[in-house]
Amino acid sequence: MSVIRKDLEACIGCGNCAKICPMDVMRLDVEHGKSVIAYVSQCMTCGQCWLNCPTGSIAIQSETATFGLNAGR
Amino acid sequence: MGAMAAGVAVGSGASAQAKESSSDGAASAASSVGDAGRAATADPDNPTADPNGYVPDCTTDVTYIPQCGEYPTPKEEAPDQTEYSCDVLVVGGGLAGLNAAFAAAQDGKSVILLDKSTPGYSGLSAWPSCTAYYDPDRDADRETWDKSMRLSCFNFANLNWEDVWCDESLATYNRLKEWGWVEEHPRGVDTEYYVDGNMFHDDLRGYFTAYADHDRHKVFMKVLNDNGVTVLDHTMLIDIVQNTDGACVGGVALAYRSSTVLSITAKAVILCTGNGVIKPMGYPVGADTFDGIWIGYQHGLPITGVEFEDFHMTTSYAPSNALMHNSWQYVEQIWRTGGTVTLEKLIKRAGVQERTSSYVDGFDYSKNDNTLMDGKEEGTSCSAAYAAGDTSDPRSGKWTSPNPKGHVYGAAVGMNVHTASGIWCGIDDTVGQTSIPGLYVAGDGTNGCYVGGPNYGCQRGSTSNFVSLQGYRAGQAASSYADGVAEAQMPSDVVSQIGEYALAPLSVTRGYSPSWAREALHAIMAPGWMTIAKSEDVLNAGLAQVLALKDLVHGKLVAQNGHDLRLAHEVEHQILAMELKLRAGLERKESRGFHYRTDYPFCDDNYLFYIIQTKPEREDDAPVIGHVSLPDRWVGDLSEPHEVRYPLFDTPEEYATYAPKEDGKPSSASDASKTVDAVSSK
Ligand SMILES: Cc1cc2nc3c(=O)[nH]c(=O)nc-3n(C[C@H](O)[C@H](O)[C@H](O)COP(=O)(O)OP(=O)(O)OC[C@H]3O[C@@H](n4cnc5c(N)ncnc54)[C@H](O)[C@@H]3O)c2cc1C
Ligand code: SF4
Ligand code: SF4
Repeated sequence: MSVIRKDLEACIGCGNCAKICPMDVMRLDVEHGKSVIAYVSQCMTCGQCWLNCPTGSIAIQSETATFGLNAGR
Repeated sequence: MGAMAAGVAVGSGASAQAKESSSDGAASAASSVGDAGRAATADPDNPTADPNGYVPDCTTDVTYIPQCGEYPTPKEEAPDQTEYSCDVLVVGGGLAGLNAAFAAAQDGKSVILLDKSTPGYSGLSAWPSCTAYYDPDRDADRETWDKSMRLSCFNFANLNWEDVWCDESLATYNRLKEWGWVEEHPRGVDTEYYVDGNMFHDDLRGYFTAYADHDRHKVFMKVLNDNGVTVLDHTMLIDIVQNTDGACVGGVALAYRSSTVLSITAKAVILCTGNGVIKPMGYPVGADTFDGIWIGYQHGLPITGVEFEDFHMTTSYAPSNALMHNSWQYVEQIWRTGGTVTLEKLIKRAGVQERTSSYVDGFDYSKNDNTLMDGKEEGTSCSAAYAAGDTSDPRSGKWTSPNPKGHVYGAAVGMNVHTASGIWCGIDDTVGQTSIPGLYVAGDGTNGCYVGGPNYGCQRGSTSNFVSLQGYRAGQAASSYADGVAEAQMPSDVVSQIGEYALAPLSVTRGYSPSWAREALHAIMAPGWMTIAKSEDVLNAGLAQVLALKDLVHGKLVAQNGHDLRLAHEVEHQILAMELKLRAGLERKESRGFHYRTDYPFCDDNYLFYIIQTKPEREDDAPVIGHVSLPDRWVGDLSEPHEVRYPLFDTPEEYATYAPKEDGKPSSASDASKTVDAVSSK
């Protein structure tokens, strides 16, 4: 599970997501005025970018990509 | 603000945003599949676009080429300023770092604060949902309080720090409240935004936007800005610098996005780098990767508390989704909690930890659904004040909206239990002063002080308050130390050495990807036999594997960009932390708190010491292991019977042997874990 792009058109390049993301997944392309989901393998699905995105450009995907390995299940 | 990234103030856009539909959290993964048949060229000097305008990103590892029509990862501008100097350097902008910076700034010091991300959003401090304080007018007298701490913390809690907490937690709470960190607004479940507690159904973002004015995450940057603290965000401290007298006189950091080395001269340094994790499996530990432990260890400081594994849970059906059961907690208000846990209450809770029994005997699949926590459940989530029935006590507890309960453990693989682990400052320390002049440590996972014992004892919600208090005291102490120091100067050879070390992974051409090394470490450490129910054989096997990984990748992690540069250093830190964890686990041949050894399943009073590990003189030798005996007051009356000293009967074997008959004492250890009511650790 991870952050996902819902609508790149909607992105206004405000930079919130790139500033907030603790895992350095999100970057800001100043030239094009768009954020970039740059290093998605680091995403911990905290949702902070999504909550703070003013335009709904990004989302959290609901599909399970892989099951993570934890203590047991 | 040299390294500040471009962009508007965090959250300002969100507050201006109208409510959106409730379903926008869920986008289809199917849409992320890249277009087939793209023909773009990846010549670094001359990248060309394919017919869809897709330009391959030549600056990064190919595995990172963004999909779905994203623009290439942009090149980040290097900051204009690379040399700084200040009175006090604070590393980490969680609650500990925030309070440390505030205290020093209030004392008139020039303060620089570094964070790997942005204060308020990184580390654990973005996530607490309740906070506690000791109320001298309502809570038990201090002697009873001591006893309660001792018994709930397996006679292992640091009662000197506990004294300080009792004295100062109310003032700390008031400071947090004054800052706007403890705002009041309706619970999600009492609003139109709540559907069923599932983040994909609820309109979490709508709620967050509606109450954006109360968002506590914004408070961190506001307090820092209001107090004139210079914040260098997206900057990772690589190492501290000692002068020829051994005093700490600053640090070398990495503005990793642009791979730029920064030097910060300071009269005093406070490490508040949080706890650590290899990879968060549903428990959002953010950028914490044991950096403080690594730095302390390299400088000869003792590391403690690493055998006590964190207890947090995740959902089995969405184990890597941190928001699944932390959703409402993140957006709702902070609740006040606390109060005295009585002896009677403690004993009623006695029983095998749920994580032990579920792991050892199998998981309860009847709970394998969206089991909702109703927010008022009994057990440790519940505020003691509420449980005591005093409705006038404002510490009403952790009543967040119902949402899915995590029911499998190991959500923060490798993380140590709150406040036990980190750099050990000594029995009498109550300011976070290390043995290196000018170096202070505060907060969860950085100052290994054991205020919550080996199991985060009986005080729900005290961590956020305690780390704030500890940071504040370290800030004050560092500030008065700085008063007595002439201008600090960093030896230039040391600074350039660290600078070279910081950038070294960029020059490694043959080696290993830090992402791969992290996955390999995670695979070694994640299973419950490494963390929940351990034994000599398995710990030795784990140690052999971690050392094999270390041998293979140490100094050979490759970075092709700034992102990987940060990751390469983090992975080195994680590997060291796991080595220390396994060695401490082997050394503690008993069970206590969140350290359960199936081959030594009882609390053993011969182990009433903290294990400390220090760096050996020769790099290839094993860490030097030492023991710190605990003062009499902390360990209680040794002549009392075992079951009186340890009424929590934590392990199946303790329960089978010592639980009173009338409690329905089971006849065997394995029966015990099946028959005893689960004790929720959350
Ligand atoms: C999901 C969750 C729920 C919780 N619930 C509660 C609760 O209800 N009540 C409660 O009291 N406590 C709770 N806690 C625990 C509490 O939040 C933490 O113990 C506390 O916030 C830790 O604060 P800290 O400042 O010590 O560390 P952190 O908040 O982790 O801060 C460390 C900071 O250091 C930065 N950093 C790390 N390394 C470096 C480096 N090398 N250079 C620069 N910066 C660096 C990180 O980016 C981070 O911002 C919860 C924690 C989580 C994750
Ligand atoms: S969900 Fe969290 S970790 Fe993932 S990109 Fe967004 S802010 Fe970063
Ligand atoms: S927060 Fe949203 S609008 Fe702002 S840069 Fe990120 S994706 Fe674009």
